[in-house]
Amino acid sequence: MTDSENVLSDLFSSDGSRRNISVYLVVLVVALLYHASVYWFILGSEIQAKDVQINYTIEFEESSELFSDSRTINDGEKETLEFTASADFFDSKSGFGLLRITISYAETSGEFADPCDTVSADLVLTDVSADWNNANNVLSGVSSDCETIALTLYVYPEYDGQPKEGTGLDASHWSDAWSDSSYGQGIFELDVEVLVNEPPTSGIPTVSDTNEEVEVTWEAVFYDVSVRESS
Amino acid sequence: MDEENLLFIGAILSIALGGLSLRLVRKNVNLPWNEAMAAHILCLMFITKGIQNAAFGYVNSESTGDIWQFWAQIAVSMDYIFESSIIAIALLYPVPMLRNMKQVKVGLGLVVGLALFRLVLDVVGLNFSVFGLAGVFVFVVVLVWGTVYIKFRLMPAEESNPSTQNIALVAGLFTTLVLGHVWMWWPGFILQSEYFYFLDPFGVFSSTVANYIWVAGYAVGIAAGLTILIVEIHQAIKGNVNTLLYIISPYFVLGIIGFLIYSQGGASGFGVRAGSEGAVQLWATFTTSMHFTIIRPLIAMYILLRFSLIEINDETKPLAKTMSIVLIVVATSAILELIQSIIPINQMISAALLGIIIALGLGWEEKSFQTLVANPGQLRENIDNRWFPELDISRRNIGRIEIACLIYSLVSLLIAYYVWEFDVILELQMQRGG
Repeated sequence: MTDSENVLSDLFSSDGSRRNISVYLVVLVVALLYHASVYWFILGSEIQAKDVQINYTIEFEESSELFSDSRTINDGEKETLEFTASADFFDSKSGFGLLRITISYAETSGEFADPCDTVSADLVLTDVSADWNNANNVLSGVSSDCETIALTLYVYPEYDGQPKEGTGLDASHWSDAWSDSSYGQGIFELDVEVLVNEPPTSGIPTVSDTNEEVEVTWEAVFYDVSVRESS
Repeated sequence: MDEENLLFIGAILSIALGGLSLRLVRKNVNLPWNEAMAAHILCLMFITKGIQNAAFGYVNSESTGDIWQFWAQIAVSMDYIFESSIIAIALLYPVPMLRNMKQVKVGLGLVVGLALFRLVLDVVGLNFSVFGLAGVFVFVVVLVWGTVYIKFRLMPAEESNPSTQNIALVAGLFTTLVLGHVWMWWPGFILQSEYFYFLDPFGVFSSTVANYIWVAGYAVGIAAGLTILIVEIHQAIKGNVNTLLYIISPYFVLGIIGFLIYSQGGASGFGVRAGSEGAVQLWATFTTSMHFTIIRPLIAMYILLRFSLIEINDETKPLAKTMSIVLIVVATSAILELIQSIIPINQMISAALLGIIIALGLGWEEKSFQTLVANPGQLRENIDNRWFPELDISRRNIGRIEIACLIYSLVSLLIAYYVWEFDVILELQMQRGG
């Protein structure tokens, strides 16, 4: 490399330039040393402490919205019942945790020795944002002995009502992570089907069992989240 | 208007500046090799910076799901181009540090290699690590442009001429473009304030050492800025005033006000998906974010027009004017929106104010545009030729920078998709204690 191809030789070509640039470089080095001493020594412990991860306990206080509906469904027919959680709850609570549905019925024909009918219930997968694939979901059930059918849908991902642990970031981050009101917004649909089990006396002309009354209770479990440092 | 909205405004400004000026730079076939390369890189840098601003806007506004990882990766990939572009421009302009073909190949090869190396680190899960050399470009800026500034600004009177002063001005302007927001933290650096030393640009993702390197870059950046300020004041006292003094002084004055505001708040600086509150947030939006999103494109436009990187003739003038009008109208309306967000003004009054401000802005643009075009700044007159070696680099080869940038951007998209699909950043967050 010739002198003309070396830019450094031109930058430092005269005494004045050498002095000026040297002073400038010394200023940079002093700044670097000053910064290093403050960063590692003067404020070192505070800066290290800043990077220590804080553990948070995330707790949930539940409150529920209950809604009951009843239908008389004819033999072999299927009815779809709908439920929409109240907007007030979405506004006032941190999130929609889970949805519990109970389907209860009794044999109401009044006929002698009439056995319980068969009722099946399916919570339909809709475009409502929820944890539809949660392994603990119970989305369908059948009963032939007048036992109540209980269905559960976990709406908020990873929500199970139990306290959680979070590490790092800050309390507001964890609070925000559990405060997404988009989960559970929309219409839930429940298909209920009745298959009548005729009484032994059904051969008699005046004896018949053609339908059943089914009572459905929707329980939308909302929660308020609270986050506190645990260490 | 909150910060993410300003980021989207910045995206529009940057992409408009980059796209329109790239068309104009292409038409300027008379540019010497180093200026042509620098101008191309500058335009592409602003296009990618615009994409980065928009991506960061989405990162800050996407509170649900995990798609924010995609936007975050796009943003950091584009930032790699920004940092490499800055290093490349520093090596080429206003005076080329690279003086023969071998130096050009090695120098620019290293710059490109740095961006690609960082992308590879992201793929293998070493995002935001020390190996990425985050912040190293600041050291290059203060060493190259700072030295060029000192050399040419403090030339003995007998050697000094308008070209030497213009070279110093360009070096100072580029230093301002890169470091202006950092200069507003100078009291924090000197007075050992938490808001400076606790800067944590990547939050939980970065280690203490990585943060140290990043903030050390800012420290030397402030030292360089203060040196430039002192030199400018000294020269002004001697009667040798340069435009640079008027441009950099506000940053240091705002630094004093910022010190009072930041000292009241608990939050420090900025960070990925970090939230800070109240007055601190507002001040950061008005200063740091405004520098990032509005002032940088305006400085770049000034350099492009003032130093003839864009040749203005009858054919190019309409497009050049369109570019400057777009920048000024969007910038002025954004500033008014910002003011309106803190001082509630009746909509009719604000509409009238916007009209008046834009009219004034356009009037000023008309006058300043003519001044810039009529009196282009010279960098080469009466300067020894050895500062500007002639290299045979064809415009066709220079044009290939655009293709390289496009390919890099497409690869970045794929990598961002990979990072999102495989939750690379979320995994890191958990590994590193998030």
